[in-house]
Amino acid sequence: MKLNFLLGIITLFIVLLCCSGCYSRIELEDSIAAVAHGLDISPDGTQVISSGQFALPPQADEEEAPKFLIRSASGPTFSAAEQVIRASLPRHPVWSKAETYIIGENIARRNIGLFLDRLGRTNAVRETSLLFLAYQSTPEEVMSTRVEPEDNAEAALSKLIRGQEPQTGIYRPVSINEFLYKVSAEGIEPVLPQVKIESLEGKNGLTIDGLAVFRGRQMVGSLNEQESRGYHLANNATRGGLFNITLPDSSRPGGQSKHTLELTSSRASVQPLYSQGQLTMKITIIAEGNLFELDTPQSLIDMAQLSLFEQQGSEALKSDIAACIDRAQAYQSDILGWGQILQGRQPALWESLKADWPAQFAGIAYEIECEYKLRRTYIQGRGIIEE
Amino acid sequence: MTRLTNIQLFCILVITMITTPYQVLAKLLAVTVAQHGWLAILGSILPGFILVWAYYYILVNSSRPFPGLLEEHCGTVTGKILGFIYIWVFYLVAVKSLVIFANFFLSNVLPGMPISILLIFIILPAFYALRKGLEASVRTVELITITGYPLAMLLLFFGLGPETDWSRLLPLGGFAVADLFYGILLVSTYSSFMIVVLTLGPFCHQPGNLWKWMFSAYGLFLLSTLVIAVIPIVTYGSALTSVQTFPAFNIARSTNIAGFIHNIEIILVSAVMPGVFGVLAIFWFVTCYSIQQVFGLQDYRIMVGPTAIMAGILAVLLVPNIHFMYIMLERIFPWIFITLFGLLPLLLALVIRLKRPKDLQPGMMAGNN
Repeated sequence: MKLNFLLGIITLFIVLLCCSGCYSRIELEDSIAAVAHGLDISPDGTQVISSGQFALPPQADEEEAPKFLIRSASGPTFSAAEQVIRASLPRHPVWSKAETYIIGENIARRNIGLFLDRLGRTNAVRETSLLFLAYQSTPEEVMSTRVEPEDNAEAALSKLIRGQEPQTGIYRPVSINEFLYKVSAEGIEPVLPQVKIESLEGKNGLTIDGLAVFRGRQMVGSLNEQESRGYHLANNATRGGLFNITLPDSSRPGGQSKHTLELTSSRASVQPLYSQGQLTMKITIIAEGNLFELDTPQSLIDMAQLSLFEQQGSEALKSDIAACIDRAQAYQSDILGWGQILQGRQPALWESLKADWPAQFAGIAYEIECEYKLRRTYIQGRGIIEE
Repeated sequence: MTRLTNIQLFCILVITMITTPYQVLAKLLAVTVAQHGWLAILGSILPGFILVWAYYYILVNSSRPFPGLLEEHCGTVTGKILGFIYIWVFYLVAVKSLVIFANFFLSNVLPGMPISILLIFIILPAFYALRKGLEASVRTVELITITGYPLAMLLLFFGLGPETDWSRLLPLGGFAVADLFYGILLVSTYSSFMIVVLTLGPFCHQPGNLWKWMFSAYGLFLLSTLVIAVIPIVTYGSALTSVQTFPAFNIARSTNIAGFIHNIEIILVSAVMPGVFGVLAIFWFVTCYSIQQVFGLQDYRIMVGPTAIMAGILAVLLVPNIHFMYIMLERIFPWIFITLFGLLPLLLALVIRLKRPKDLQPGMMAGNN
């Protein structure tokens, strides 16, 4: 009995000692958190470059004190480069705090395989972190750009992409998880939102400018804003976003009036149709939204006019999707995941096509059906000005 | 003699069958049958039912707990030889559960932690529980089933986020039949861990009702493995799942519910760890109890100390690295376990059936009627 009691006490002590969490501990005052992480390659392709944006501890008495510091280093691997960064930092860099990863255009155009392992293997990378591509610049340059009122690029980029999704409905965040999945799966290719440094009112700022398109292990091109909206519509169930339509109006200069419609929700479905040796992808979009702003306040919006708005709305959405598909086919990059849909619905056909899928994808015919319905006109029905 | 309630036995079966698949089955099935893991699980229903029948049949037609019953049905010499083999295989399961958890923990949570400290952390509570007697272990397992199991499953469901795509389970066809059969074998390997019922069943109050609890435990195993196999596939796709070392852990890492519930992997570890304790404690008990039976010892508890030290050493030596561990889990262990926990008991049940006098009523355990 005494032995068991003693054994119990010893067990409890040892287990409690193990529970203290002393292993792999990092003291707060000895560490510095990386908020953004950049991955690139040198122009000659011999060394990879790792960059980190680190949040500095807040200085209570200095408003203008720098909020972050940036360190970059090159090496044969990203880990080796990060060891060089570590050597230049008195504090231990905590990479796992980085929630934004910025990929350089150089490495994206050369070989994305060079950084995939860095993203997927260690627990220093959180798979829910967001990925961006530094378009026509380097990750270090993007991280050095201050975007008021945010303190660092991580916060700015994260808010930029998350904020615009429900408002403009063009881009959506891409997580490391999603990117890795699309790289690893057959019949689908990834895209990444491009971050561009633009001069705004004499100061450099960051904007999301198109989507980088990948094929296999390389970036092969970009989608512009319209194509990016088409990608968003054709791939996802979307919520939010505004888009413009034009209607014939003889009373207006140029014979057209322009109006803004809101897209409150949309859902896309893709159906592969195979008949007489011809594969056609049928894309159906069911969308609804509201009248958001009229170029000319209409005296009376009747059912016929609403129907015209709906028709033009449908055409506008169709044209965005068609622009995206045409561009993707030109790049031979199946960013729409048609191969995967085919694999799921017609596996035998997929088996016969998959060996040469990029070329096959480029030649697939498509039909788009779009049904856009107006639901509300917000707090005004008629226009203010009566004709 | 310690007595177990049927619900306690149900808890033991659930923990022994589900803990290891929770950690590794999604990957093993993704490697073997890609997105068709759920088909392999459905395919394992029939073999599973046959196993449950075989175990129950052996149980009700034997007067001694396993492996003593081997001597009863196969003769003293053969029974002792088989019992000796089973000692090592039970011990292998206990050590394997340690190895898997050590790799799970050191790969994902605290890579810098010495493996010896981690092993002590797991072995010591199990050692203490076994020294206290079967009742202490079983009560702990009961608590683990009530708390750890629902939490572990809930954490998997949390992984079903906006990026979940159920079409990743498609296409339904297009698999090699041989691969599917291997997948069924892999799943059946873990359902065969139900063999502990042969040792623990005779400790139950109402052995006549055991079949209901065995079927219930097996049903829960099937549902759980379906969740374990399907959620990583619809979250990551089969290609990515097959390259991850522990998909369940990745699910927890990438869980983010409205930016509010995230970074929950440590909760997953805290849910898995008691399960590992459960598997270790139960198979370790069965090992020690088997040693007692085979060698005619007074008390199984004298073997707890020596086997504890050996378990720690073997856990370090058994696999040199995680890659080798998966080779063992995929190619070597299934054959060992399915042969000794599946085929041999089935054969034994058939032998008992053939040898049983025609006028004897089945369903009554000789030691408990």
